[in-house]
Amino acid sequence: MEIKFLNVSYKKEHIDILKNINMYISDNKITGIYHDDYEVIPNIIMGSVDYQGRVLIDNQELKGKGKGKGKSNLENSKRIKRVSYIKELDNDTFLTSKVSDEFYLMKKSITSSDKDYIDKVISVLKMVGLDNSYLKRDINTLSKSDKRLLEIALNLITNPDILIITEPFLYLNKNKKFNIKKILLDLRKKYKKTIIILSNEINVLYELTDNLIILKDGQVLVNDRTKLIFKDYNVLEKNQIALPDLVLFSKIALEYNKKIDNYLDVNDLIKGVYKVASKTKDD
Amino acid sequence: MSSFFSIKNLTYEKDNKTYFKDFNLHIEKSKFVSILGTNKSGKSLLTNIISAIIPTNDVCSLNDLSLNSKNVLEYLSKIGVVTNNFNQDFLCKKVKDELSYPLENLGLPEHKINKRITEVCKFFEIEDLLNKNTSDLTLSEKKKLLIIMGLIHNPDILILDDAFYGLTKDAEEFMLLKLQELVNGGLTVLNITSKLDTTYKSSKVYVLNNFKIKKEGSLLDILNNDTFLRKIGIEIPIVVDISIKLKFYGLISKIYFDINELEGALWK
Repeated sequence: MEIKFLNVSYKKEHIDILKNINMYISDNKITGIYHDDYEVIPNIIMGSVDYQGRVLIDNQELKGKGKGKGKSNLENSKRIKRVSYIKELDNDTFLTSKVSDEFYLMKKSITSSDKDYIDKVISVLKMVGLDNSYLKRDINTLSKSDKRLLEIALNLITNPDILIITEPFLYLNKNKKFNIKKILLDLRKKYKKTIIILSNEINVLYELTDNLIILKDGQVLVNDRTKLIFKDYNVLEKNQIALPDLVLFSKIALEYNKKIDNYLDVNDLIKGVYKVASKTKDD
Repeated sequence: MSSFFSIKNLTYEKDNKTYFKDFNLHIEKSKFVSILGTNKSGKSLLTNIISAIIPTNDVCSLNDLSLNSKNVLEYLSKIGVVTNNFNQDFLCKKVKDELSYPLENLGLPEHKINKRITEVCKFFEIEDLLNKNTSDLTLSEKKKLLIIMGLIHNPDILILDDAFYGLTKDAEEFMLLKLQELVNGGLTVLNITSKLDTTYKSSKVYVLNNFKIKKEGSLLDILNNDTFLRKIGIEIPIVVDISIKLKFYGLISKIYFDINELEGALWK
């Protein structure tokens, strides 16, 4: 599902957070959003805040909170099934104290038989790397990373068309990060989902996203393919946006007259460096 | 070695399971020391013990004060603790009130409270946040405020439990720099963390795994055995990772933490 923001403005406590922005989130892609305010874009898409302008999902206009009642083609209830929003963990993330109860609450928004539902629960838990035994666990006894994985599982079970996730790797160690990365890539590739990642970690956005939107001072600084954005990064530097380490490496190498491509993986970079270093030696 | 903060012979058992057994730790005054460990290595349990959330008797001692049930309040007034527990939301609506609250609890007069807040805000450059609502802060600002809250009562030692999660890269570097300044002025910092890039300036690093200290030394000593760190799931930051690999191929001779220094050595 594609999402369009047309001339959207949003104020919080009289401060302009979005100033008449236009941006485009492609269907079946992972789009990164780099913005100081994590919540504003998801809240607009979820219809939970007032804003000026138009937001279209697959060319159907969304109604904001209290906006144009009855005019929208998308009802709130339908929207909840279409969009899942995985926020940073907070006091309101879980409504109950047991893992099984959390899944029970989610069942209300899904039409399936009890047996099918249990199968679905087990499969999403497995997907995020948690086994069945977690169903009996008290949420308060879970580690931060397990809580985060549970939060992801609870959001996947509704089979959303659009998945919004804030800081996808927060609290996770290397192996768990790898697992979440695989899930996001699979959701995009196999299940054709639209995924939006909100992050302030430029390395994470560089590694995970197909497209990237950078918002600064309430305006869209760039909205393009991630690869292209980091190929010509003058505008980022002018606006003091940090470059990903692997891009920064190529940039510094150029200062030494060494041409190193922008790699996505450290091992590929090492091969590239080795090639250039050997050539320099031969010369 | 004179020990300023220590944990002596800590043994902790619960539900017939032994977590820590004869665990010892000694930290000198005015040092930045890190304990590096992944999820479930025992980091948060250790923080709970040090911060007296889990009671112990004569296991933790700070300077001449040995923590037991009779002196918990005195002990707590001398330590600052910052956890990464999202259940600990802010108590007040405004940032300024949040900063005053612990000082009011200490019974400080208003002019001293205001002086301390002004001093801290200037040092950490958060004057622009003072009149904001805590709920309107960005994640990074919230995390920054939490660390500052740990220091507001001017403790002798600051305990950080994965306190740098959620800070932007710039904010993380800034806070580490500021903490180093405070360490130079006499503060002791115990940084219990899973983020290796927050341990660069540590005078000593301990690697905690399965409730035991498995390695200790300078960060460079620890990184000389990066296979161990990778095996237990510690993520190696990209610049260090590149450095280790280039060193393996003989293209550089040591490990670098700074990308400019690394490439300076590589392309010289």
